[in-house]
Amino acid sequence: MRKLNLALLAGLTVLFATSCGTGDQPKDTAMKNTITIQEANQRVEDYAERARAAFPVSAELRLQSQFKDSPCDDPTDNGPKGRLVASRGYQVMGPSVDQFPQQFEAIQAWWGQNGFAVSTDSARGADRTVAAENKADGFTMSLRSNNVGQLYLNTSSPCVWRNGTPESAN
Amino acid sequence: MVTWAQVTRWDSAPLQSAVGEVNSAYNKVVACSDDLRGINTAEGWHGEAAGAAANEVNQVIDGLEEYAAEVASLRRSAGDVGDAISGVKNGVKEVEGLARAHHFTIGDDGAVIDNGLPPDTPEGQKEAVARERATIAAELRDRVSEVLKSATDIDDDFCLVLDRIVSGQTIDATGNDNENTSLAAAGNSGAAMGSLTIPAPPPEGATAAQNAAYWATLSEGQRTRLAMDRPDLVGPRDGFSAQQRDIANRELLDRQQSRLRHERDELQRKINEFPRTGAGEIKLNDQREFDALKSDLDKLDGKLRGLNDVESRLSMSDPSSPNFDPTKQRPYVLRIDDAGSGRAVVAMGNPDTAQHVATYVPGTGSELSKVNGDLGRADLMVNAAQQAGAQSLSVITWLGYDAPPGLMDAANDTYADNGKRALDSFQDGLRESHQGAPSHNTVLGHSYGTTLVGYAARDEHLAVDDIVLVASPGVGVDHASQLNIPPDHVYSTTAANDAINITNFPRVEGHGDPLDPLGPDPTDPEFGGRTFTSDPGARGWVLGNSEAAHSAYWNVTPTGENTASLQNMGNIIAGQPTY
Repeated sequence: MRKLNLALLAGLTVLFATSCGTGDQPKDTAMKNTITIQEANQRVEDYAERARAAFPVSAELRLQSQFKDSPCDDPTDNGPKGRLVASRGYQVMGPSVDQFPQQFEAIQAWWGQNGFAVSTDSARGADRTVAAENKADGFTMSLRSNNVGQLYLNTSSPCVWRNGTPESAN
Repeated sequence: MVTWAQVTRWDSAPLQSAVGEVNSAYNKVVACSDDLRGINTAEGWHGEAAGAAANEVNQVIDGLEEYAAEVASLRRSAGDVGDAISGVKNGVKEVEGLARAHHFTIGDDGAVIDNGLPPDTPEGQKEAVARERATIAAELRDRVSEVLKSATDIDDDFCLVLDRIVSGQTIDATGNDNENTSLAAAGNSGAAMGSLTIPAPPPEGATAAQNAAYWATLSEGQRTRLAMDRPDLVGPRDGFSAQQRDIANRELLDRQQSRLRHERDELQRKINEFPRTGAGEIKLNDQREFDALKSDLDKLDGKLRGLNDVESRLSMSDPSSPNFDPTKQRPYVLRIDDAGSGRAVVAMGNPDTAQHVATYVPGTGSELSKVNGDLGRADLMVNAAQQAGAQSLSVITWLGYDAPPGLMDAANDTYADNGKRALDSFQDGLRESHQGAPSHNTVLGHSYGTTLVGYAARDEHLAVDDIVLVASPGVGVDHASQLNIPPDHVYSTTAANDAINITNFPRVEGHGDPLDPLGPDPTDPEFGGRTFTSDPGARGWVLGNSEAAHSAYWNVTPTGENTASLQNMGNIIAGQPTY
């Protein structure tokens, strides 16, 4: 039985060795120039700063997480490995739980005015996430409320090359 | 030998308060140094009387030097013993608490007295409770033994110091140069003689419970001193505190980096100086030897990269580093070893104090040289769990076993069999070293890591509350109920386009998966646990499956398509519902 499995795995190894990074996507999606990771980091912060307008003046966006150059080695766009992603997470301090529905309305309105389109809206009780993507630059934002009464704003870049050009071309 | 009855009456307070008084006496003695030097060097006085006076002065000086040494020795040992007694008292307290909770008492001679099953034990649970109590009784015996060993060690050391003081043998000052008398120097010599030894830990291979029993008898100061003096002994020990393991392992990390750099330089020199033809080519007969050197260099470079990546992550929590990131949890290095394929166990957050503790076990291909990606995943799970509401947590990257190096090896369960005890010991250690109320502990495997988790849970009864199986090729059992935790605490997910789907054969009703040596897919409804959503991942052209989808469960985009798995993992770690 183990031999059967090993034979199958051997076959798969060959298959995947020849299939990595291709998938269903056209090959020309791969090696396009992008903004730099530094610009991506700046833009995720800019989007968060600008989105502050959707929240009450008294609300505070407290930086909760920052990933300045996470590897984008398993991209869903079937693009090449070696690119990076910038993201930030902020806890929105101030609004009470009963104000959360209004906050979701407000951020969606702001997104609508700033080139973002809602991609998902899922709720399981108090745990709700609404996400949106900017069709022009591929940046994403989301607002999440959780079961313990917290609210988070997240911003993320698409996969970009560190210096803006494909590594192999550098 | 100190008895249990004696040690329960030990009190560190009188010794600790004596330190202040002895210190005052010491300062008065040392202040005489300048006066003594003046007496001894009196000029212009010659003759018999002068000689007699000089002899007398020398005796006074020698006596005072010895006295300074004795006082310093007493001060040092009183402080050390007072500190060590606080460790022993902590050990006593833990023993008594454990005994009380399980209906045992400890006799004056240290015997563990079984007071029988608690009277309110339900009839149906009596057998299971009796089994558990037998384990507890063994642990109590170990703990009592460790307390008495430590207490006897302290007692012996202190007696030795006091004997030396009483018999005037702390130092011999008669051979000193009295022209340059320094009572402080004599005091320093005496203080060194007053230091206590730290009792030896249980032998290598001791259980986490045995290690914890020993650890409980040491004071915080002794623990830290041991970690700094013997990092190789403290660093890898399950059951010791994360704080001191971290101190020890950072030292080991530094040593390993230095050694590997030196080895690398040597290897590079050999390669550079390797005999070549006039055209600079390697001679045909030497090619194999040359290739072996290059291969060794690659391995060394890989290990160094892994160690440097760990160091780089440590620097992110160092406020003085340019990499400092205040949003990151402080890492604790719980194991680091460059031997073989390497070991790296790094906790993001202190697992001894966290309310939620998760252990992430990576799968096929994971090794020290590639640890950076796994450390990044731990940080991402911290983020996901925090956003799910976890207020206090630690996520641990556990690279504590030899993972299959490639896909061809991943059908072999030897790697899981070889690693399961180490994972079990680690999880036991987390329970033992945790402070306060027990934490909510999760173990999370990815790919072949799930196989190891399954084998450890099946054969070793992992001390965890939740098991998470991500992209599993099988976990060695047909049903979640065989993993020795309630099946509704076993969570599985596999992305629709994950290549692992191809290796998971369909179940044969009532027989699990006889064709698969690792067992059936745990996401199959017949397996019996819970499943949670993952996004489908990138499509490949092998029946739609892709290798990229196999490792996309931690994709960083918190809002994009492929993040349901990360969000759900965060929810489980935080004790929140999945979807």
